[in-house]
Amino acid sequence: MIKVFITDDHQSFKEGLIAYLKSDPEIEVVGHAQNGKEALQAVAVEPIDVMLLDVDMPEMNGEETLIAIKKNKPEVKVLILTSLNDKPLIDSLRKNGAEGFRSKESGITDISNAIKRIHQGYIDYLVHNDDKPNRITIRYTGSHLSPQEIKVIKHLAEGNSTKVTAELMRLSVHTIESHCKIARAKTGAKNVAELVAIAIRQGVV
Amino acid sequence: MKKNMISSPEKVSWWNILFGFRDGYNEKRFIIDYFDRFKVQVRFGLLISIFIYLVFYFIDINVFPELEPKLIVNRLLVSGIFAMILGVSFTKVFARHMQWFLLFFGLVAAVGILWKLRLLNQNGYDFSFFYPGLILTSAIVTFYLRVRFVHSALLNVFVIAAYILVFWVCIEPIPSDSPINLTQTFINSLFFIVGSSLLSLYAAYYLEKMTRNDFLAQQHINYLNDHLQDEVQQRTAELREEKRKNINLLLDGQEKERKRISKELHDSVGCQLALVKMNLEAQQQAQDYSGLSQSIGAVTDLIKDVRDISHNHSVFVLQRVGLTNAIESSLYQILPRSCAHFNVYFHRLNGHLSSAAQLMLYRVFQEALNNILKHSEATEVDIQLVQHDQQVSMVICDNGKGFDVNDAHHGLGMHNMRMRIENQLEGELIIDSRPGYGTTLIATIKSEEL
Repeated sequence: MIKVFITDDHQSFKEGLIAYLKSDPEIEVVGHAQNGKEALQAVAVEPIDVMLLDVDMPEMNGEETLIAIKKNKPEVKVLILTSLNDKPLIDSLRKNGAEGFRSKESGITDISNAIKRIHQGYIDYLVHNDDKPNRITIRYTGSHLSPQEIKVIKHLAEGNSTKVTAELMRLSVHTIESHCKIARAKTGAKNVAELVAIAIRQGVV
Repeated sequence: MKKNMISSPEKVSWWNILFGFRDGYNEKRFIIDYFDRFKVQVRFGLLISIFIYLVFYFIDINVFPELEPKLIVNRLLVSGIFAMILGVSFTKVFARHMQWFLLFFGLVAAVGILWKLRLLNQNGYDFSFFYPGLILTSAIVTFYLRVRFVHSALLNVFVIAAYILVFWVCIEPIPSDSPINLTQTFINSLFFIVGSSLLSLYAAYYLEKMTRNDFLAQQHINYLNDHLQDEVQQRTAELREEKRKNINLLLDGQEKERKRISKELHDSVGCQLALVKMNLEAQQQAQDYSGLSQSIGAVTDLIKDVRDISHNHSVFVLQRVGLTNAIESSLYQILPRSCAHFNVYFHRLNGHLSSAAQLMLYRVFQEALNNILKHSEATEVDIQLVQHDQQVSMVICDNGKGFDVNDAHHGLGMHNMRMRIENQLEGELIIDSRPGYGTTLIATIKSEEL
């Protein structure tokens, strides 16, 4: 269960969000607050995994709260939920350590996804631009295979040679070889066979 | 290139010993080299000859006291000529014609001995013991003074001829009732003189052959050295040229950056400042400040613009925040105006990347990002930064419309970067794309372990 705390001064939005998140079996809402000050008091006493934080709030705004949380309890992941949407704000929020960013228009389904992803260690920013969602997810460390590497490994696992894989993926043999080399380095596999085995074990192929 | 001019040293033949090297220039240099090599030995030999000649004078005046005045003339004259030759040996003429001077020396020595022989004979002495003096002369000239074969041969022929001549001149005054058998003595002495002459000729031949071989070998070594120097110079010039090209590339980059900044300053900041100024002036004239907040808003925008321009100045960004943060920061900046999902993975980046490598990767990233935003229409972009085997790879894959990599119009900037990555950073840059199948870019650069 991911322990989630919600800080927002917009009462009806908060209630709707809590109601939705309660239906998700992986998420447990452990509390909520009206502003940054209340949120900081809760952070000090309660174990919290993910903090949902509005930016525009009375008493203490979201950015100040974020800085305070990251200073005292850096292990608490912060997902910013805001109706504000401009680029200097986003850059500044990321620099102050916010792991997630969602504009309130993005819909509730995506918010629960964002909570899960940042809990897994991703950085996940999504911004709406002329009603089109644009998203950045960032992950530091780990042996995570990229979608293209997974495609390469799938073809190899089906018994295709590097050359056939290259033709199927419309790439050059050299590119396929580089993908394999980098994927092996990430997973620590000594050869292609071991790489395929690791990919199967991870369930990505 | 004069590569095959002297591939192996020439062999010395009997022809060379008789007539010199066929190449006149070589022969000239050989003569000078010969003098330089033996001048000290030759001068020492001349000194010893003078000394020996004078020592024999003291022996002679004890053995033949009644001949003293005539002997003094003989000994002093010959020694004097020796001393003169020794003096001349320090001049340039001697350096060029040493062999002839030495031949002359041999002749003087032989004539001196024969002259004394005649003196003794005229006073009734037997001259059978004086051929060793001639042998000594021949030996000194050949071994000490290093006379060449031709000159040695001339000298020996002359000495033998002179000996025979002196014998015929001397034979007359000797009384026929003398107990000495002159013919026997003559044949006996001649045998020794001719024998020693042949020996010294043989020695002179081989000494000269050795010297000439040495000379050629030395010439060959000199040639090889010169050749090596040429090669080193050529390579140095090549490296200098390469360096100059690289510096030019760097300067080009800096120049571009400068142009970009000045253009952006002029286009956005300059124009907007002019507008703000006009607005403010209009308000001042009309004494109506209702538009002031709008002007303040415009100035706020300008501040943002200036910040953006300086942010794009990649070198400063990198120096301040490092490669991963700079990449992240660029993405947040383009986020509100792109239509793609960016998935970024930073894997195990614990190696140290030189600032040149970081800058290069960042430039590649910016160029790729630019191409993706402008041309690709991609909706998914995967960016990876992976460290492996002392290398760092940046992989950027998009699902956009791709392009034909063989089309020269595409990615001139990328082509320049590839040249720099391959030439300066021991890396490679792969760009793989086909129309309709997205683009894959893999930049690999050597990372320096801390």
